[in-house]
Amino acid sequence: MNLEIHEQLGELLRQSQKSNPRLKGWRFDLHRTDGVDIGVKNNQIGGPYSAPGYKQSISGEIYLVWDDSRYTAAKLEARVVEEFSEYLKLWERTAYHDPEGVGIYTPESLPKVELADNEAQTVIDRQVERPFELLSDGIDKLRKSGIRKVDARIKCFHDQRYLMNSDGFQLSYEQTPVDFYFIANDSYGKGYSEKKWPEAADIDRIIQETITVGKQLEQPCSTTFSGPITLILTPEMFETFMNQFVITNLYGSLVLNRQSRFTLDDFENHRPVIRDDLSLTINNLLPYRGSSYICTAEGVPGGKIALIDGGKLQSPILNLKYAKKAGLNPTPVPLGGSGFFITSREGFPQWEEMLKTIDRGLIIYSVLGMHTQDTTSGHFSLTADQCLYVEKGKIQGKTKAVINGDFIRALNHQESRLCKVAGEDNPGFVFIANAIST
Amino acid sequence: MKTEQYNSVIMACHDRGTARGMYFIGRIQHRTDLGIHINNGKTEEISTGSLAGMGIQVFTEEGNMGFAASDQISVEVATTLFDKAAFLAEAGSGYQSETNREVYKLKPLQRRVEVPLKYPHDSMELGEIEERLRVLNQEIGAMDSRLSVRTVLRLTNEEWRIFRSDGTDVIFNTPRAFIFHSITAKSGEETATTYANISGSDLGILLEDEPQNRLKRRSQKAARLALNLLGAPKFPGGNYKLVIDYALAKGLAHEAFGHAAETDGIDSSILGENGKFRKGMIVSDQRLSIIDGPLEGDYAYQPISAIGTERQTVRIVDHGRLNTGLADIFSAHRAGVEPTGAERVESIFHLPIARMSNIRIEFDNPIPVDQAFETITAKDLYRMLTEAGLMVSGEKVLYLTGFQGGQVNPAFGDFVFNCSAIYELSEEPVLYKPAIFSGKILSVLQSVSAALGELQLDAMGTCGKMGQGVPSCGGSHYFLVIDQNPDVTIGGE
Repeated sequence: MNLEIHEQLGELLRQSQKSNPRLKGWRFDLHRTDGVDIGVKNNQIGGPYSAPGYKQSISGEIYLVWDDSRYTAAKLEARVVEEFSEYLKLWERTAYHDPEGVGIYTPESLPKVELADNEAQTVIDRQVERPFELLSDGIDKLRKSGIRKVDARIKCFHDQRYLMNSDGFQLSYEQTPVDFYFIANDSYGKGYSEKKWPEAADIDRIIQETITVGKQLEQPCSTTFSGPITLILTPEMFETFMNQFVITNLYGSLVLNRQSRFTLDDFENHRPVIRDDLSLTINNLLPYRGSSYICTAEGVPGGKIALIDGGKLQSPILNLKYAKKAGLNPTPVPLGGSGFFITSREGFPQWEEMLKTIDRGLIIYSVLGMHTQDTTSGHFSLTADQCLYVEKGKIQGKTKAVINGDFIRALNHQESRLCKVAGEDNPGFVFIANAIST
Repeated sequence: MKTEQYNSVIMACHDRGTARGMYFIGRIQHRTDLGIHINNGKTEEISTGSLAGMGIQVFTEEGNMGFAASDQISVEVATTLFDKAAFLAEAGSGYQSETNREVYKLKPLQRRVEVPLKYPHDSMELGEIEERLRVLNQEIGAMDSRLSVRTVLRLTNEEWRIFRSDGTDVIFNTPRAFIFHSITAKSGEETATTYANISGSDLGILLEDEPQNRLKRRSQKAARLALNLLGAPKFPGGNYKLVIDYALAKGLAHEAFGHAAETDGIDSSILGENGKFRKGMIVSDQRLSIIDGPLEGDYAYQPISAIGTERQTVRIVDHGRLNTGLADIFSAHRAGVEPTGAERVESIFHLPIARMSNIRIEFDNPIPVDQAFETITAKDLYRMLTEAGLMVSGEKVLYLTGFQGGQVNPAFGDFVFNCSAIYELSEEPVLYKPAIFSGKILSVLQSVSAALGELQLDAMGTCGKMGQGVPSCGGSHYFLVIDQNPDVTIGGE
């Protein structure tokens, strides 16, 4: 394995630029990744579908700027250096004309973010028993607590990232993403996704919550309902709804191509779109977070930015091309569906306190069909297959429902409420919608 | 084929397997992709990608398993991966990892299946492909100023070589192609998005008249639907008599039955009992069958499984009776069925799991329809249904059209899928916003009471089971009629 593949690729591109006057600029973002991935199915580690695995790869993307406003966008793979001349021919042949395309960008400065953890690296290099132990201990605890069926998975990887461009920009840094989850009885799962090996307390919190909710979802409740009811979204479900109906509509490419709920004018006029105490921020700079990074593949630094402030639109999420088209600065982008934070200038109660106030409601732990929903409309029509029925402040048991409503309208409604959940970045969300028990 | 060059790599695996006394399954993949994205008449991006790599699954004598994969292919890499996988298999045995020795029962296979491409992906200059796509995109956008259109063409050349300890050595390719339009209508605060697509194995989807005409008819219909949905009301949620189109019927077959019939999950599937497939159970009218199997030229075609066995065409439901599962080697025996070569993987980095290919619902003696599917309006459908005696004037029947994706939890028997729009059928059908279709696996098929039109099996998608995205396809007759059922609910107001 070649240890300096990024340097070789950089040198080959520099030489190509000298010998080929059509090539005006280039940048690449290369990842060298390796790590372990171990699963649990039906209470047992490994097996045919979740066998312990080791994976290594070289991947990334390259962007070339040619004369006459032509550009190349391509994925990189391990053979890129040894087959460079063939690739270069392919890249030039597949270059496309884009009068609105952008050149090479070099950031003025870059943030410092802790993203690599020695402990996680040690696990990959010489302590592979630790992910086995994490899973084995988790199975024991869940089973002893009465969970019939445990499924789980852990991934621990090391990623060496190299960015370079034709203007002399170079960045190399390491990150160590660690993800694990446990699922109880096919009904409820809780996970961890950070760039460091988890503390014992993190592991324990996740296992305990899996046990608590998993057991609650084992107790059926025979109630029936049809019509308006209070829906209580857990923080994970609130993030899922926010991603589908709000975050997606903030991407500049959709805004400027009239495929978003919002227009560029809406941002320029700071149009109010959600309730005025609510704000939405991206922050990629928190240490060891799964969604944190130093810069995007284009070189745009990670950072903290308000997309919605006091209920009013502030900025779309902009890569270089759409920043240029919008006449605005490029922004950080959320990574992997997380890294955004919903806050309210009003205080809000703890989850447990809020539950006591619910006369009739459903705690939603899972929905089927979110990816089928029209992101632009705000309307949702989903099956909530794992939920708990709450009456007079007390959990009565598991039920299922088809739920319908307008999420954007709910974010504007004065009676919708937030509630704080220990250990979570985002709050839970409580609002009125329609539901039919099934 | 490109994977023919790796005999020395395969020999190295055999040597390592013999030296360590371990069974193995190796997979070598070569894949290239070309994607063209047009947005409102302008080229957004042309992207290319490729992957060449190998994965090795090893099995100890006791049946413990380890796996290793890399995007490099050489004798040295193969040796290293083998040893890593063997180390993990042995490490797992210390944690009572699940053992499975079913692979030792496999019989060797040598086969070479090369799908011939009538229009290889390089049979037209890229600039001309781009221009044709741009025209397709602009034609839709020109229909109305409230429309914006994103168009994607993706061409994939993929080749696999799968080899095992027992001498198995198979090579096959799975070329595929699609054109996909996402059509958004926007007026004030109202928006609606619909889709139109066409798929196949090669560039014929762009070059041949028949698929092009079909795509144009679908695109125009989807664009008109998006416009008409602006301001459309919501329908009250509840249980109704329904008519679904073939793409939604594919969703029904895929989500409601296909996943539940995959034997790798039979321990917790609603179609399993005490870990065994519930063969013989009556699940539908005896005129109905559900069939899964590879079709050459289809978007989801795969003739050989990811462990190097031949993929079979399977009658999951045979004339109303649950017949057999989509069975992979590891779970078939335990589930009480025969293996059917259902193993698929997304890439060399993944482990094989039981998957569908092209799944379809077939109904005996469907009502003949003498129109092309794309030209049939809700009003036409009302006429066809009343003429066939399948609905009477004044009866409340909803027509669901356009598949927007689905999801299932086989353990609980719940499935959903979404449509693009709902019509309440009458002499003058009324359009409503889409709403989720949800149901219970064990009762929904019982309510399918009739079918109209011939089979149409090109409803394409990507199935994401266990985080692995593989192409899926399927369909049914043009339309299926589903009687009112308390276990089939339409979401709504």
